[in-house]
Amino acid sequence: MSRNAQSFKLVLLGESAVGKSSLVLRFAKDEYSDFRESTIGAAFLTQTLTTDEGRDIKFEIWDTSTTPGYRSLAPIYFRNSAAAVIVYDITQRSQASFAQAKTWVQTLRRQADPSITIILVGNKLDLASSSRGTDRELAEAYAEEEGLLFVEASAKTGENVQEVFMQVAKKLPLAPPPQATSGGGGKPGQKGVKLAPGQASGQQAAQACNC
Amino acid sequence: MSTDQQEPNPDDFDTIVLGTGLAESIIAASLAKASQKVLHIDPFPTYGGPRHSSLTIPELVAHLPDLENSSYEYPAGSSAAAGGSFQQDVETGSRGRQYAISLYPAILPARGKLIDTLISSGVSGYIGFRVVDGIGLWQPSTSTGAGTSTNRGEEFASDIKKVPSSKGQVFKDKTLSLMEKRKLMKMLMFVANLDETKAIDDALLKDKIDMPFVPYLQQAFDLPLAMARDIAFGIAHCTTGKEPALVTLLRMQRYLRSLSRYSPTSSFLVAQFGGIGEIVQGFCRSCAVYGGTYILGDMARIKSGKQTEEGVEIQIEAQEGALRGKRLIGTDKALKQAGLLDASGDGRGSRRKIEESEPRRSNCVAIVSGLPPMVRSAFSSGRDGAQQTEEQEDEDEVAGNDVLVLVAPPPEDQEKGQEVSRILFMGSGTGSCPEGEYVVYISTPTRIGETNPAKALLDRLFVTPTSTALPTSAHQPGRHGPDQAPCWWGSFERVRVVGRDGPRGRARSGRAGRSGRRDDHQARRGRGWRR
Ligand SMILES: Cc1cc2nc3c(=O)[nH]c(=O)nc-3n(C[C@H](O)[C@H](O)[C@H](O)COP(=O)(O)OP(=O)(O)OC[C@H]3O[C@@H](n4cnc5c(N)ncnc54)[C@H](O)[C@@H]3O)c2cc1C
Ligand SMILES: Nc1nc2c(ncn2[C@@H]2O[C@H](COP(=O)(O)OP(=O)(O)OP(=O)(O)O)[C@@H](O)[C@H]2O)c(=O)[nH]1
Ligand SMILES: [Mg+2]
Repeated sequence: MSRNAQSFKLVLLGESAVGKSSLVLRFAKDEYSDFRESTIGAAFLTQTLTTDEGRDIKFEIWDTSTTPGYRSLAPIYFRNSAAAVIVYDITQRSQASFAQAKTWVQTLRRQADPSITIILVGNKLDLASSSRGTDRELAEAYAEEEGLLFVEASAKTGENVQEVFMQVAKKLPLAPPPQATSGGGGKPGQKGVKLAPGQASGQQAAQACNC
Repeated sequence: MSTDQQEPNPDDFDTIVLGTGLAESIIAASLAKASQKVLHIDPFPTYGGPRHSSLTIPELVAHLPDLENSSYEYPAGSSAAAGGSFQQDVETGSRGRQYAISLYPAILPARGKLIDTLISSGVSGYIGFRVVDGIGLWQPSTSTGAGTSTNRGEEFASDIKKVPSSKGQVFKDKTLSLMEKRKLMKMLMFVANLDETKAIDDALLKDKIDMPFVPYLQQAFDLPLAMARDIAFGIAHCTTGKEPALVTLLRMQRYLRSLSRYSPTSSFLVAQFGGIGEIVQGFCRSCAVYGGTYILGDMARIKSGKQTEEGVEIQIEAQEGALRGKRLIGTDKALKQAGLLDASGDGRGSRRKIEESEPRRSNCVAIVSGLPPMVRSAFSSGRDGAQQTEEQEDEDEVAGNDVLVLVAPPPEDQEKGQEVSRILFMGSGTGSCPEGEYVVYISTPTRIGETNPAKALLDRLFVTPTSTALPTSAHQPGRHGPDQAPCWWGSFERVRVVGRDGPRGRARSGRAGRSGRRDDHQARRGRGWRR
């Protein structure tokens, strides 16, 4: 696999059908489908990226279904996540998926590690000219206020998709990812034991795309 | 995976699993991985259900009234509670969420089925672990005396005996004579090399396979009683000391072989962020990755259920229509709640009535802002003797005292097979609490007429070395060390589940007949602790 890539957990959040899975698929496999089914349960896949400085970053991407009524996000979902990608759909009015995105920001503030890198992504940019519903300025101002990274992208055309993950990668700490910080003030990594026989080989699930 | 999944009906499942306890979650994960369409539901709001969840303090406070004989308190007078803001911070601020308190505190041997399952399922990749840094034997009874002794630190500390975790430590032990060391090593070598298939013919085991463990050790290895008990409770982790010899030896062998798998000096691990609750979430996550659907909390409450030609049909709060499963898996209790198992039907259901007289264990969990002085001095590393200066106060974590276990064996003259008390300290490195604090779990048998014995043990632990008498009642000001006094504690009771017929709440399949699996109940005694 990759040489010495530093591994980071990244969670995807956002209302159903905003294009979370589509963004990941575009990023990881450069694939896109207009008929993508709603994610059932959860998905997990990894993708490695090299930053401009030549740093290899391996993302462990946690995607999930947020269909209302089904699925309660467990704390483990946020645990040790170094980054969160919060997605909304720019074709919807700002009261809809953008408002939901703001709720996710609040949830992360409560439950995730304070050092988490958050990027707000307005997806379906390809439809901006015909049916934009949430103003770019509005979202940009909110992101700035909250100290979030921000980008508009299209999973369909691929525009800015790489950019989403590259921006996150640049913000990630050089030190190993936080091990034991959220939910307790543990010393990162110290004496922590990972059971997998070898970091990478133990995570069979990590190699396969399950979405 | 989901892209090519053509679902005829989203409300049809291969298997519906009721309850998110550990067993159910492992089942759900493995069925989903085997390409079954799984619905996994629990009316309890957190993964793990009412027995295996890890909760924040506010969540636990809300849940305590559902447990037997429960109570909780924010004692006044502890330094962390100063200003009275601790309670507020915990219940309304973000502080309460920094705690992950396990309803099922347990340490895991580094070799065992659970660890194997975690690795083979890939779930271990979701979870971080810590090693247990030390195990000590505590004789609280000797320190109570008549309550008149002028106890000094050393005397208290000497009540805690650190269990040696390597051969070297055994040889360094000054309390043992050379003869005793030889016998002890002989015994340990015997256990290490024991071959289960040849055990019946072994001279040291022949005719003694079912002999109670402590007398067995005395007889077979000519060990003094005190040493036999130390081995039984400190290394083999017996509950009564009367467990049959062979199964106990084999369990001890597994613990000895657990040494050095993840740490040269420790056989046991704990999962970070709340132990079993986190492990449960890992399995549920894995189930979801393979397409499992989750509904938790009130929405998952089952309104009705019935068996049909094709399997089972249930109605839950979350939606109008029925959810159908070809199969349904859950405990007797869950099936009864779902109306799928007659409360009196099937002979098995009626057998399990909880009797007043059933043995109970009293459990207490407390948040403290440091290890009790006697524990700290007993585990202070690299030092002989118990004396230790206060300068090391905050160095516990550095000194590798993040996760500690104390075992308080039952009295020696036990007639009725009394049980051990167990105490587990989880420091901030486990992610269960903020830096500098510890979550303390205490589990002790309840004897008739006793109220809250676990809380009483907590008080004994945190008595200051300089106090002239031991507290008899809960928290009297000045009796606790000012820095370590609990700033919160809660307690509850639980019926201890043992018996030839296997534990209560056996997971049952709605369809499959009983497998007739005999529970090796002896090997699992003391559940709720080691697995
Ligand atoms: C931390 C932990 C580690 C475990 N490790 C092992 C292990 O290494 N090897 C092993 O064989 N078992 C293991 N188990 C399962 C264990 O044997 C049973 O959960 C236990 O005997 C039930 O006792 P309990 O008092 O906790 O019952 P409960 O708390 O009432 O039940 C706990 C859970 O176990 C389920 N359960 C109870 N009895 C059985 C049973 N006989 N068969 C299947 N499920 C049952 C229940 O449905 C429930 O979800 C482990 C359990 C826990 C909590
Ligand atoms: N035009 C356009 N459509 C998109 C874009 N991204 C996703 N879609 C479509 O939006 C729909 C939902 O996309 P998903 O990726 O499944 O959305 P999701 O957020 O993963 O949804 P859930 O899994 O239900 O939470 C699909 O039909 C996609 O084809 C985009 O950039 N532009
Ligand atoms: Mg999706």
